[in-house]
Amino acid sequence: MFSKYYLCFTLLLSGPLLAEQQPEGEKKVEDALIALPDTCVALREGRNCYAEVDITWHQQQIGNYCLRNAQSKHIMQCWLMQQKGLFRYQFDSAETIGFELISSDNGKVVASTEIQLQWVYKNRQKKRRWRLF
Amino acid sequence: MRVYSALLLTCLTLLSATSQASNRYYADNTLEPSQGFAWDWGIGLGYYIEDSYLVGMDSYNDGIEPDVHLAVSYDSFYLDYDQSQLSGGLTLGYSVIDKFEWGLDIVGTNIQSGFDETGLNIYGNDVIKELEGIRTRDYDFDVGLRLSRRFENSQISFEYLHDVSGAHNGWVMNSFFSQIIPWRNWEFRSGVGLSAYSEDFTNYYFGISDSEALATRPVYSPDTSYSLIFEFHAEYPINRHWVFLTGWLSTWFSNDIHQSPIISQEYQHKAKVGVRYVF
Repeated sequence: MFSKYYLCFTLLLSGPLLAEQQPEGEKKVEDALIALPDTCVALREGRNCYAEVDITWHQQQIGNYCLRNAQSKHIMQCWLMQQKGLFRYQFDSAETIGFELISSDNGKVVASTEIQLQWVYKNRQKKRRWRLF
Repeated sequence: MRVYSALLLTCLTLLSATSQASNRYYADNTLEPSQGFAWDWGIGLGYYIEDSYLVGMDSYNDGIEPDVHLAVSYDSFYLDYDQSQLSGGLTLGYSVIDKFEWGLDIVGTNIQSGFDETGLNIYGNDVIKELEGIRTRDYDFDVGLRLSRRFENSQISFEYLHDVSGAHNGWVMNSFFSQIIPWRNWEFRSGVGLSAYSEDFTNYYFGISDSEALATRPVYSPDTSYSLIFEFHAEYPINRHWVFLTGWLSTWFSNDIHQSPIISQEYQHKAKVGVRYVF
């Protein structure tokens, strides 16, 4: 008998805690717009970098969403009545590119991310002589 | 940074005696050149295979070689030290004219590696029987002019250089066509060139004097000589700091070089793969 009361008491106490913690954890996952990989490395500064990037998103609410380029505002893909999505993107740029997930119902940005561009060599002198052998 | 600088200086000092053959002019003219001061440097390691032209050396040499690379530019001045493939040397330059796709530069560089009875320095200190008793051939340092014409990702250049180190006191003329082809994140570089070497140059490196002559090594006095070179090189960025490198070089020599008693064949091939860390 004591154990039943103890179990109920424990559950009642821990219930609100769980109710508060779980949505926070889920929110972090669900409200995400993630690009993988999130970095593209080019050999020389100024040269285009190429990478195949998976852009995934999750939202708490099922709805109408669109993925767009944050700089050009060009819409890349839209989803109707979805809670998550995947877009395979061929990164081909000499600059960092940002992405935004917008609600197509009200046009508001609900999540954002970017693919950063890095390079190995920064010196772009024209007079460079490579000594090969 | 101080530690890195000390390490770099140490490496430059240690490795400056391992250069071999030629250095060539490459440029990606599709990129905007850096303004003001810009520099890159890195260190790495590579594995090479070589079929050398010196007598007494195995036709199949292989081993591990360090790679030190430094590229500095400040406006019209530039300095390059690059061991990215099999060897390296210091190149200093100043751009006199850079207009309408034409360029005129004053350059100073090492053209020919030195060698002695142990062979090329990178092969160790054991005396090679076939080279025993030859005098030491020093590394040269040549200064002169380079005229170049740029195209989108290629260029053709002509150089007239003269030795100022006192090694051979001769001239060297280089003509070279090079091309850079980026493909995705790879960079492919290829080049073909023809070089002419003065009689002083050829005689200094490949001639045999009375004091060096043996029954099996007759006196040899060559004239002006030539070489034809082909090379291919590829680089790939593994990540922000690490680069994969590979390359191939083939050189063919004219009769005045390959008929020398200390030269075994009219060609030389060399290949290498390696990695480099760029700071």
